[in-house]
Amino acid sequence: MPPLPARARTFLNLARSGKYLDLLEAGLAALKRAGIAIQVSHFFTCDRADSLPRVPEGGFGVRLLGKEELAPIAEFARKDLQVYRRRMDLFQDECRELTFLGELVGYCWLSRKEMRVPELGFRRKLKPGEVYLYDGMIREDLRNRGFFGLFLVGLIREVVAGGGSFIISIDFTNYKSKGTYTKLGFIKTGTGILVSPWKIFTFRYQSPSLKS
Amino acid sequence: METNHQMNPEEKLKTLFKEIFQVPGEDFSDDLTPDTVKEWDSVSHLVLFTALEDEFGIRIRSDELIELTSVKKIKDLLAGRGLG
Repeated sequence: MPPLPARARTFLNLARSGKYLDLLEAGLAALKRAGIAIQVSHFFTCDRADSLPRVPEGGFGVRLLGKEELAPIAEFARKDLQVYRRRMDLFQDECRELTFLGELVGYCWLSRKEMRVPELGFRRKLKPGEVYLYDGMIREDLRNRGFFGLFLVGLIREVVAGGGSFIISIDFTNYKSKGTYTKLGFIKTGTGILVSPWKIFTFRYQSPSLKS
Repeated sequence: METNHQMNPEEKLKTLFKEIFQVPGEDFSDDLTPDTVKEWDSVSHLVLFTALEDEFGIRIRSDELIELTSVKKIKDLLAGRGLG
């Protein structure tokens, strides 16, 4: 394996610093054309419920699903049902559905054991109380109408009431998603960076309680 | 979030859109939707819901909330409550 080119090292350092994201984004595209892929994800955490907006009452339902109830969700998400079942078997992950007037409008997965970021090939054991949210979706024609916000508000209240914290991983270029979570009180607590084909991985994580 | 009580509904709505979605007054129009306003995401929609209830003193049902997908539709809702 040849040494990491200086140009890639520069951008790796930029990614670690968390600064000049627009420059970093442009640089990553140029590196990708040269066969060097740098994947950067930001980790966000929420351990407080005082920034949550009010939500409407009535019509909505959130339910924890059993393994035998996953088929409609896998079909909805166009994912492999066996993969979904294995998540419950291997990791005891939880799948929640969101309904409105009895109709399925979205779902999400939660893990209390392990944080897994496939884009980075990254896994980390969760501490007691930490909940990792991943693979969530709202029906495409119902987006930006408050459904996902309402779903999250309920989940955050539940986790925080139990003294826990919520963790998510977002691609660093997904500014809209980062904005959405920030409005709910999430703060950036870490960065994961993967440089391939060198497989250099760097990870930083800071407990939200250490942030000012 | 607080608007001036002397404002008419149109002015109040314009102020709310500036505060919640950062839409400048000159860009405010009936045609604004989540597709045309960058900041109009799922969470901001809930913030808008709270602001509309508080500023206009109305209650919005959940089935009404999910249909509020443009300024025109919000104005229609307000007009239906005698606030047009």
